[in-house]
Amino acid sequence: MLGKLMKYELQASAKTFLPLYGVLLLFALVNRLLFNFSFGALQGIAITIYFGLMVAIAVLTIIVNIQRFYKTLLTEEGYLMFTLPVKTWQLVISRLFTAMIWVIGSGIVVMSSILIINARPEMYQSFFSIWREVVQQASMQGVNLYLLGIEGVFLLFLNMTSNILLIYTAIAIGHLFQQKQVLASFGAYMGIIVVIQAIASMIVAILEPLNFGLYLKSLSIPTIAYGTGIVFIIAIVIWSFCLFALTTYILNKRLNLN
Amino acid sequence: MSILLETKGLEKKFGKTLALAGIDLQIESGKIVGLLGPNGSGKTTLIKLANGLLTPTKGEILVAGKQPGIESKRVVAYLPDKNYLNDWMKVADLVKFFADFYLDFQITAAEEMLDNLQIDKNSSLKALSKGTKEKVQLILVMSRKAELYLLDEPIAGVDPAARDYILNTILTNYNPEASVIISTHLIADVEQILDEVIFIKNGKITLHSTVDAIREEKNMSVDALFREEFKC
Amino acid sequence: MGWKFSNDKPIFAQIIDQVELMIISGQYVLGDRLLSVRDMATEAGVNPNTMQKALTELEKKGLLLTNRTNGKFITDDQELVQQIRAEKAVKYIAQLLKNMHSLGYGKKEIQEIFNKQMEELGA
Repeated sequence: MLGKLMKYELQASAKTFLPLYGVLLLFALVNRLLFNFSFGALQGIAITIYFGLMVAIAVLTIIVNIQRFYKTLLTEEGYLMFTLPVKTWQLVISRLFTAMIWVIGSGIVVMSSILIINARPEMYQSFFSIWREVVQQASMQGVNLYLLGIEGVFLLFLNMTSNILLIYTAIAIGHLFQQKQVLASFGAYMGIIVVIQAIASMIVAILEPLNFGLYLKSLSIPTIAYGTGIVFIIAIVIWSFCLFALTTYILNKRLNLN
Repeated sequence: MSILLETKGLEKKFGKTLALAGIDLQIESGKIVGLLGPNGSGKTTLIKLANGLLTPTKGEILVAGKQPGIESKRVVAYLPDKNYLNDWMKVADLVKFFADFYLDFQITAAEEMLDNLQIDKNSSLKALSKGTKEKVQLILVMSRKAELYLLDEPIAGVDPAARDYILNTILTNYNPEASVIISTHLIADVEQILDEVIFIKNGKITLHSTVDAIREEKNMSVDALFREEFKC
Repeated sequence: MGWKFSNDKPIFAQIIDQVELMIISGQYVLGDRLLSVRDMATEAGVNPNTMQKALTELEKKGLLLTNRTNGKFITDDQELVQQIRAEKAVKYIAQLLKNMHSLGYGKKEIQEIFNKQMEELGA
C-alpha cells in the first residue's frame, strides 16, 4: 500500500517538477552555448533566467512539498486519503519519502546544470587537482575524506528529513485549532524551534562545567571528525522519529476535517 | 443479520457548537436507510464520524463492530458531499486508483456504468461539468462490493434522469449482507427505496422507524411527515 | 409496466393491490413465472425488502407459488382468481357507496343514478 501511495504522490507532483527540471537544464545548455559567442544583452538575459529558474526550483521544492502534505491530507482531498484502507503513518511517510525524492532530485538537477554551464575541460582539471590536494591533506591527519563525505551527505539527508517533518508537525498542530489554523501552524513551527534551541543551550550549559572542551581536545582528530557526525546523526534520527510520531498521532487520533 | 453501524452516546462539538447531541443508533445489514434532516442538522457530521474523518467529542461509533480504522475503511464505501477527487486525473485513472486501493472494487461494473451514463473515460475530471463529476464519484463508490455504503447527498446536484439511474443503481446493487445509508433532504425522491428512516434535528434523532410503519400508522408519506415535523 | 404509488398507504400494500389487478386483468398470465424479487423491485423502483414482503403476502393468499428451484410462479387456480376478483368488486362498490353517502345521497337516489349512467354508457 505504501508503494501505491507513493506512486500516486510522485505522479501528482511530477507534473510540477519535471517540466521545471527540463527547462533549467535547457537554459544551462543555452548559456553554455552562448558562452562560446559574445552576444552581450542576450547572454545577460539567458543567465538571469537561469538563475531565476534555480531560485524557483529551490523555492518550489519547499513550497510544493508543504502544499502537497496540506492539500492531500487536510483539505477535500483528505476525504479520499483518509478513507483509503491504509494506515495513517503510511500516508505521512509516503509524503515524506516523496518530498525527499524531490529535494534530492532538485539538488541533482541544479548541480548538473552547474556542471553543464561550466563544461570546459580546464575547469574540471583544476577542480580535480584541488580535490586531490584536500584528500591528501586529510589522509595525513588520518581522516578518510570519502568516508567523511558519505557521513556528511547522510547527515545532510537526515537534516532535510527532519526539517520537512518539522513542517508537517507544525501543520498537524495547527490542525488542532478550530480557527486560524495557518497562524497556529506558524506559531507551532516557531515554538518548536525555540524549544529546541533552549534544549541545545541547556546541554551546552550542562557540559561546560564538566570540562567538556578539555575532553574534546584530548581526542584524536579522526575521532572528532567521525564522532561529531555520528552524534548528530543519532540526535537527528531520534528527533525525526519524535516529530513523525507526533504528526501521525494527531492525524490518527485528533483528525477533524472540515 | 449483523449490526453494521452502531453509536453509543455519540457527541460531537465544534468549538462551542453542538453538532451531535448524544446519539444512540443501530443499523442492521440488508437495509436501505434514509438519514433525513434539514441542512445543518448533523447528517454530514454523523457520516464523517463513521468514516473517521472526525473525532468524537464523547461516546463511541462502531462500524461493523470496530472503531473507524483500516478494517472499517476496507468495508465502507463513502460518497462525500463535496468534490474530493484530484482534478488532474482522468476518469480512467481514477478507476485504476480505486481498483488499486480497494480490493472489492469491480472495474467492469464501473466501466459499464460510465458507458451507460455516456461519460468519456479519457476526459480529465477538470473538463467535466459539476453534475458529471458527481456521477463519476457515485459510480466509483457504487462499483465497490462494500458492506456499508454511506452516501452523503447523492442526488442533490443531478438531473432527474440521472437521479432515477442512481436510485436504480442502488437498488440493483442491493445485497442482504450490506446496508446503504443515504443522507438527503429530497425525501419524496428516495422514499420508495427506503426500508427505514431516521429523522435528525439539531443533532438529535427525533424518529427512527420503518417507512411502512409510518405510512400505516399516520396514513401519510414520510415526505409529508417530514414536512410536518420540520415546519419552520 | 407502470408501477404507481400514492402517498397514503404503505408501499407493500399498494404492490399487493397492483399485482392482484395485473393477475385479474390478465396482464400476468396464469401459471407464468415471475421475475426475481430483485428485478421486480428494480422495475417498480422500490426497496427489495418491501417487494419481498408484498410477494410473501400474495403467496399466503395463494396467488403466487414458490418453486424451490425456479422461483415464483403465478397461480393457475382460475377459481381463486375469480374469488379475488369478486372480493375486489365488492370492495370497489363499498368504496363507491361510501363516497356517495358522503355526498348525501340515499339508497334510492344512488340506484337511480347508477341505472341512468349504465343506460347512458350503453351497457
